[in-house]
Order: sequence, then C-alpha cells, then structure tokens
Amino acid sequence: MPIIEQAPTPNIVLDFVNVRFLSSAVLGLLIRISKKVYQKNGKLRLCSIYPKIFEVFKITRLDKVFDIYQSRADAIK
Amino acid sequence: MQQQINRKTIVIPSSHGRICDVCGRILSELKRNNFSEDEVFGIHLAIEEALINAVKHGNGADEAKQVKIDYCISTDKFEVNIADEGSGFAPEAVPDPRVGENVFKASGRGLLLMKAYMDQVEYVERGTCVHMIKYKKA
Repeated sequence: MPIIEQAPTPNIVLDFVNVRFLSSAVLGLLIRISKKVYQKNGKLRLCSIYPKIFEVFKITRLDKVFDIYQSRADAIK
Repeated sequence: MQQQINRKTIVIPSSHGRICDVCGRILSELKRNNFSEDEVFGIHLAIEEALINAVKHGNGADEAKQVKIDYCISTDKFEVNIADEGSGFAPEAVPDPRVGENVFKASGRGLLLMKAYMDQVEYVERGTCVHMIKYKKA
C-alpha cells in the first residue's frame, strides 16, 4: 500500500504465476488496492492466474472487475 | 463393506494464526485419503472461509472465545462442523456479493465460495455452526 500511496500515478502489474491458493480475504485486499490505484488515475493489471484461482475470480464475478491478462508480457504492453 | 470413519475434534482460540494450523492438518489427512487436487483445493477454501467467519464475525476475534471443528473423513466424503461462540447470524440476510455495487465491496464473498466448492452448506444453531459436506468423486 505505501508504494501505491507514494506513486503519483501508480501503474501496477500483479503477477500471480506462483499463486496456488487464495481466499476471499485476498480478493478483498485486491479490491482495496484497486480503489487506491483508481483514485490516483492509475492502472492495475493482474496476470498469469492459475486456472483454479481464476475460477475463484469467475465465481465471485471479479473476472469482470479486474483487468486480467494471460501473461506478464501481455500485461505490461 | 463397512466404511472406515475417521472422526476428530479440534478446538482453537479465536486467533487467525491458528486457522493455518487447522487447514494444514485437515488437508494432509485429505491427501492421505486420496481426495483429488481439485477436491482438496475446494475444501481448503471452504474451511478457511468458515474458520475466518467464525473467528472474525462469530467470536469477534476474542481469543477468550473458542472455535470448535468436528470433522470426519470417510472413503466417500469429507464432513465438517465449525462452531463459534457468537450470537449467530441469518445467512439468508447476507447480500449476494455478485450483484450491483456489492461486487466492489472488500468483503462478503466467503459464504458464496463455501457454497460454490462444497456439496452441502447448512447453518444450524442460529447461525453459530456451519455444517458442510464434500463428496469424493469416484
């Protein structure tokens, strides 16, 4: 969070390549991060989400809320 | 043939730190009992959500209050009761986190995920105890 607060216009890519589990607490954290980023007209992109984890985003319909990319290369374009 | 039933009880204080211990113990037993990777993932998510709800919302993170986990692992299913010492709640009053502005809220997704990943989710004892079942695929 301090990184976001210090950046004038935060442009963030969160790479989920090593994430194999997450709970709703993490989804809540992502929502809080996104609100801070968007308040400063920044961008938040998520990438490389493991299929089981992506299913959690789909169930909660957060796949429609977050900007999600297949790979880190796609996300930083 | 008679099924082998492995029924156990764990009691923990309302501490977030203890949730990982409980999940780790149960997941190890599920793997030893040949539950699939998908089933273990779903059960992990559901019990972690239920434990967080019990600690945070049920017991208000009061470490003097306990959470009781009763579970059994049989050849065909995993069954668990997670009970807190709170005053309970009405699950039907929990708003759908997928609808309207709720999708932008930072909380309120635990119950949805528990229902999505378990075959049965039922609150009893005025909402102080959740009973969940996951059937093992043949």
